[in-house]
Amino acid sequence: MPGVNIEQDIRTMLVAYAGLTSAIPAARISHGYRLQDGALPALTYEISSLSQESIGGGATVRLATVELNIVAATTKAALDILPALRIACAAGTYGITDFDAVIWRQHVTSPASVGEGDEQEPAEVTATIDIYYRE
Amino acid sequence: MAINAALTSLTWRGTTVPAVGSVSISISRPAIDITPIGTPTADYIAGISSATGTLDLFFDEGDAPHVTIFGDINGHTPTSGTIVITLESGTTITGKALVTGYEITAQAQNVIRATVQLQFREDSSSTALALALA
Repeated sequence: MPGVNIEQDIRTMLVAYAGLTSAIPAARISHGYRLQDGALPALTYEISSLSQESIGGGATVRLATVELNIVAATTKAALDILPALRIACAAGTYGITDFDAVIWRQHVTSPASVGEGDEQEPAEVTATIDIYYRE
Repeated sequence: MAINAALTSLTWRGTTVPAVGSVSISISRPAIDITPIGTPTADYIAGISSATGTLDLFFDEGDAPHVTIFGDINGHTPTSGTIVITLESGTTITGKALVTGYEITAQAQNVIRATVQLQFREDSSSTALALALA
């Protein structure tokens, strides 16, 4: 039996909600990075911390703090996706992993800006969630 | 040698309790003052020992033992239970306890937790001690 792959299971959670994948195609939802010239909007995510919360007896309760990064051409386009992302981040069983609780902690908006020359940097909305899951 | 705090199991009335965030047990034996009047220095004898315990649970009504423990304080007939804590080293701490508190806390941006208070009793069925370390 394969072990828990929490990174893969988070992606499974995200792509499970059609409201999110209608705004960001599943192919643009990726762990860690995206190609700089990739199509927008896109969503990347990474686990910023992972800890064991229970001391034993049955399945181990673990806590993953995850940063989700919506990248879009404009601030409005990024923020328009935020409600769908909130809904997508929901408790449930993903892969073989039970996400007991998914807690939305915060989001931070970085507006689009113009960099060197005519280079434009896209807008980013970074959300932070906590996932309590059992392994 | 240090022992990892990860337990191999914690059982209440024979059933493994899942999602235990922490467990602590405290045994105390306050000294009794037997200083005679007029004596310049205090004297004591050993008093009576008693032990209490605390469990911190990630409360989930789907975890049957969490509900069982709640029923053991909230029911019409409070029930003593035997708790067995098995450390990673294999050592067990066993005691018979009454549930004296069950506090459920829901705090923003957190999961629901339950704090269980235990009062250990003399376990006349075995060692006549509040706790047995084996």
